[in-house]
Amino acid sequence: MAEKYKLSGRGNHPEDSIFDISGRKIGGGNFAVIAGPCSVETEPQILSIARDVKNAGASFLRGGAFKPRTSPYAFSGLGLDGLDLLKIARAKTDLPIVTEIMSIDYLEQFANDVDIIQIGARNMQNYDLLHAVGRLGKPVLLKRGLSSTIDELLLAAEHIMASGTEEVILCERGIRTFETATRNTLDLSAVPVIKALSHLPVIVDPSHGTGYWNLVEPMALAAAACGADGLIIEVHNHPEAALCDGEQSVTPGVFKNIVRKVNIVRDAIANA
Amino acid sequence: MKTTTRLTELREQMNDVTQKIVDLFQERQNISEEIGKEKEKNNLAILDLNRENEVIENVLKDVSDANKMTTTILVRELLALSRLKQSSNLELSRGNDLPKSEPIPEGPVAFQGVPGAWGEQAAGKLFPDREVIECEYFEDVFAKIKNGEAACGVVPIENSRTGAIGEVYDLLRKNSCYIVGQMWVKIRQSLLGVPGTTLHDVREILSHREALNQCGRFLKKYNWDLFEVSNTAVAAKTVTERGEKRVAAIGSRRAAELYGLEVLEDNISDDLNNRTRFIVIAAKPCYDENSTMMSVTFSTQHRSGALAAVLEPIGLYNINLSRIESRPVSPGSYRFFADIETSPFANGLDEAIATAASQAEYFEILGCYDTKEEE
Repeated sequence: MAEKYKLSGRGNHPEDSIFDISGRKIGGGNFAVIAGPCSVETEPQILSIARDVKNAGASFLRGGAFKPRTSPYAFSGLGLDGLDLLKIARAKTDLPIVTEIMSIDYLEQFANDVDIIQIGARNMQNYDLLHAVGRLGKPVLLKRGLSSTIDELLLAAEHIMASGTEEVILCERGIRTFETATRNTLDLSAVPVIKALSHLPVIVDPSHGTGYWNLVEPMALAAAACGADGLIIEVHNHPEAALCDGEQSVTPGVFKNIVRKVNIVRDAIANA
Repeated sequence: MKTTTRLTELREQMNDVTQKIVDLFQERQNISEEIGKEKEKNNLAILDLNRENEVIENVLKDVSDANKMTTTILVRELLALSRLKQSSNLELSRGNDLPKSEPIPEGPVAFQGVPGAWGEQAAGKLFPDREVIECEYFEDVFAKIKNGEAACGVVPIENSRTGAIGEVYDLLRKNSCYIVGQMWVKIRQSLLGVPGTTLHDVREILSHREALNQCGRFLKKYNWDLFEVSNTAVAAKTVTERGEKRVAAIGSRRAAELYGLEVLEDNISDDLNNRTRFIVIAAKPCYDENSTMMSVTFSTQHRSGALAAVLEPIGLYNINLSRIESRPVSPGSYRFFADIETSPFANGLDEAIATAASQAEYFEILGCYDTKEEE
């Protein structure tokens, strides 16, 4: 039988993939921490957070310019102005930028300006978008859909890769279950399951995965322990005043401690 | 000074009160440190404006109207110093680290314009033995430094008569270049035309916007059409190319020589001592013991006293603020640029800058450098 996951599966590619993205490595033992605010709000906000997360040990800066929001009345991002602010933050910190694409309208700007193009959970099965982004050949961060199986996630990655992109990073960000104590149920078992099937790096989003800032640290540590290749964490310098997802954002001080502890966990496992 | 028994008595009382205030202040700062730890543990931001306003409101309840203003100033200061205490425990850089010193890298110098531009002359005076690279726009000067084609760049930032070159300030905000040097260059603008042109023939003037502004008084005397081009030397070059007597350029005598033009009227700047300050920019900070200037940029929150709070530590440490400029970032939001006269090694500077930075929303040191005056 022909392999189902032709490009993302281990069949034709038994070794872990290691991507070098704008000078930062991820995969095959290289751990990447992506951090930043849910959305880019103002210049001082993104510049201060970028500097803080860099000093705390982040290797990539995240920040939403185009935001998919459940309510049409919620803050939906600064759009291209937000992208410009991310570029200034990158110039100031040298952190490569990760930001979400919502539609093919701004494909050209994303191709020119963004280091890793994020495809959000809600767009995981938007196949036209997957193909259009895949044709750019730029690194992609693909988030698992809220109600998608691991099989569907890998097939979505397959769509991007078949369109011409080699560097796809998969992200577990919590799935919808009957549990209401958390925003989503973070499916950490997805990490070893995916890693057995695929050579692609897998990272974990404990911020969306749980929905509460105080759960970010324990789940980040668990993700590091279960073999994830990285984390994506929402950091805000003023969580209570954040225009989006403040309750799941950690302050730079809390983030710094998370990174420190994650490194201890990784060292402990490496030396076990 | 003459003193009385009563005065001595009152002064003693005053000393006691001062001592009490200082002791209580130490106690307050210790509590503040604990609050900082608790905030960090609970994912709370250091600045809580509602809480600060509440504190001031409560305190003022029992204060007489005559003392309300002075009490507010005192309490605001206490709140600010408490925030400083809390942020200094965070051990995250607030942009107040003095950049590490390195020599200005060897290699070509980029400027905006074509040969004969004031930028080229400034580059030649600052770096007599270096190759120069022409750039069409100011933006390209920054880009060439970033991609390594140029070791450094020379761009104008301020004119003695017309003030800031806003575009260059905006580029400093958006790029990660540092200021590593500066020079005031005498700008002697002249009216240039193809040989044989008289003032009667002229109908159109080409020049850079800044040069047109610098010669406003001269231009007012004539009814000429003014056209902006990217650079004074580009204007001179264009006049030569068009070869018409009806068009003239405002630029340097050197541009006239280079492009075979005649000086129709010399030194037409409104200010006969017209000077422009050129800065040297590089990808990394560089300075030595001769540095006398430091440039910083910052933004503040929109609330009363926010700008004063950033500037106050600089004043308290006896450092002269020689210039402050404000540039719009987005509607209603501004970025400030300040130049301070100080050696990077001055006593107490670290603390002054750290305190100023803690009062700002965003703060960044743009560089320390020596200032040169053209001979």
